[in-house]
Parts: sequence; structure tokens; C-alpha cells
Amino acid sequence: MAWHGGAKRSVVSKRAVLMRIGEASRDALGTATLRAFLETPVAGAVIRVNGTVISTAPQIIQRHVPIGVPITYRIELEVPLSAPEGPIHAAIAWEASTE
Amino acid sequence: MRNLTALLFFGLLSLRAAASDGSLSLSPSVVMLRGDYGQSATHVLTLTNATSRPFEFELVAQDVVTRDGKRAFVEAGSVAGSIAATALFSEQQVRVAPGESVRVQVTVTIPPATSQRAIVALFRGTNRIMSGNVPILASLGTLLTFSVTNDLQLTTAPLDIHAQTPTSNLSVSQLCTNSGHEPFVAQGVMAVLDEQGALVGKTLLRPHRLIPGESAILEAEHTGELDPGRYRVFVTYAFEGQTLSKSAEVVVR
Repeated sequence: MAWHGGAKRSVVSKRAVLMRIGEASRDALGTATLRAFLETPVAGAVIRVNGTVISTAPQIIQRHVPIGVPITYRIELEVPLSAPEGPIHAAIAWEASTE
Repeated sequence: MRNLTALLFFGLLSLRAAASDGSLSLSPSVVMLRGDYGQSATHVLTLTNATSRPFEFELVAQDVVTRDGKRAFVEAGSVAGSIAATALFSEQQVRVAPGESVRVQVTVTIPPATSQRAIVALFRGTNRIMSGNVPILASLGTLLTFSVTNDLQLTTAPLDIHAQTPTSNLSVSQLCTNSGHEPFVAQGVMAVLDEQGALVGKTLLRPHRLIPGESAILEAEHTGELDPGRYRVFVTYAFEGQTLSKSAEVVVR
């Protein structure tokens, strides 16, 4: 078995998205739970939102999200170098539910 | 069919990430129902599309349960006494054109002897829209809670006092747990009294809805600067007509 410690095994693309639940407000108008999931499975790649790996089952990204206040979420797409070349089709579904 | 009494919060829940040119909104944002086992209730949910794009949704109900003190969402029928499994929507799928609203009726029944007390009625987006070059789907859900008995219990951990420092005001936090069988909204107030028992300041805690088994940390910060001395901090919670008070002493140097 060969040792590959330190070698780059994947590439990670990061993107921040600004999201606001509810009409803009200086003070929070209640709170909501924000969940995210993938519309369809994405083979050969890992997608994280704020560090949480998302799949086709909804994952809670954040509880008690203040309604009306914009919040930045970090989306990471990690693709192993061993993955075949080609576009990755992934749609992230966001769900906001009142608390 | 008997009707449940309902308390509706006609707030709007909307999601703006989906489109930069407007927002989706769902009303009411929370429905609080009170009734008996076996009773049914029908409510109208209104989704408004104030964006310039059409949206399509499927209607889904999920049970809201607690795991390790936190809320979790589970598929209808996957827990015993599932209320979500009884949910009937007047439409299974809806399409909302730009500038229009759709009204969907949801009828739910509280199963006999169920321990479940909350569901979410979800407008789950089924058509992709683009946010920059990222395709996304947007969903909005309204929480519906159910109260059946008068078994209301709030338990608290000891008050966590954060003493006043040169850079921060006196603040308190406390872990609160709904240890009863019914959901409620805990409202609290923090009062600071001096050594003579005179009121120095009062601060409201942000109201927090707790479903059975759920825990949350409630916090308050005194809004003024305290002179050196001994003080007593009282935190009083009110929930569904009941109250619970906790206090602790604090020294400001």
C-alpha cells in the first residue's frame, strides 16, 4: 500500500450565499428552522452547507434562524481528484419552517 | 366533525433566497390548536408569490418530534400516533403564478392517546430556479401545534449568571425544558433588585416556543450599568397561565 499523506486528493469549491427568511427587519420577527437537501443524489461529490453534509434527506442547517435578518451560509462542493471529468448537476432545496 | 379551538399567528413566513426580485410568503406562520383526542380541525394556508417567476409546490406534512432535547422532522407515519399521517390537503400540488396567491386547506385529526403535539405543513418546492448559477428549490412550512391536556411543566437548570465586566453588562442564561406533555410559549422577564430590594432594572426574555421534550437556552441582558454592590437577579417565566421563578445573587465590584 502506498502512502499518499499530504497529497491533494480532492478539490473544494466554496461559495457564500446570503439568505433572508421573511421580510427585512432590524429585529428578528420570530425564528425558523432551516433545512437543506439535494434534489437528486450527486455521485462522486460531497456538498456541505455550513459544514453539514447534505443528502437527499433534509438536514437541519440551523435552528432558531432569526426571521427578517439576512444570514450568510457557506456552500462547499468537494470533488475527489479521482472523479471522472464532467459537469456536476446538483440543486439544493431549502426549507424554512416556523418554530 | 368537531372543531378544535385555534389560535393563529397571522405572521408571514417568506423566503427570499429563491428570487432576488421578490419573495414567497406563507400565512399564517404558526397555528396553535387546542382540543381533544379524535378531534379534527381544518385550516387554510395561503402562499403568495411576489416574485416574477412561477413556483410549483407539493403539499407535505411531517411530524415535529424531539430528540435529545432538539426538534427533528420525521416523515408522516414514521412515529407512533403520527398526526402528520392524518393530514389531508385540499390540493396535492399547486402552481403559483407571479403576483398570485393560492389557498390550500389542511385538515388534521389528533389520533387517540397520541403523544405527538406538532406537525409542519410544508409547501415543498418542485421546480428549480436559478440563484446566480446555482439551481435551488424553495420550500416553506407552517408549524401547527396541538394541546390536549393541561399537563404543562417547565423545568430549568440553575441560572447561569454572567457578571458585569468593564466591557459587558450583566446577563443571565438558563436552560429551559418542556418536561410536560403539551407545547407552550415560555415568556420571561429578568428583574434586578439591589440590596434594599428596590427594582434596578427589568428586561424581557425573547419568547420561546417549546414542544414536549424540547430544551432551549433563554437569555437576557441587563440594559444598564450597575454600581458596585450586591444584587439579586430574579427570572420569572410565564407559560399558559403558569409561572416559575428562579433567582440568584450577584456581586458587582
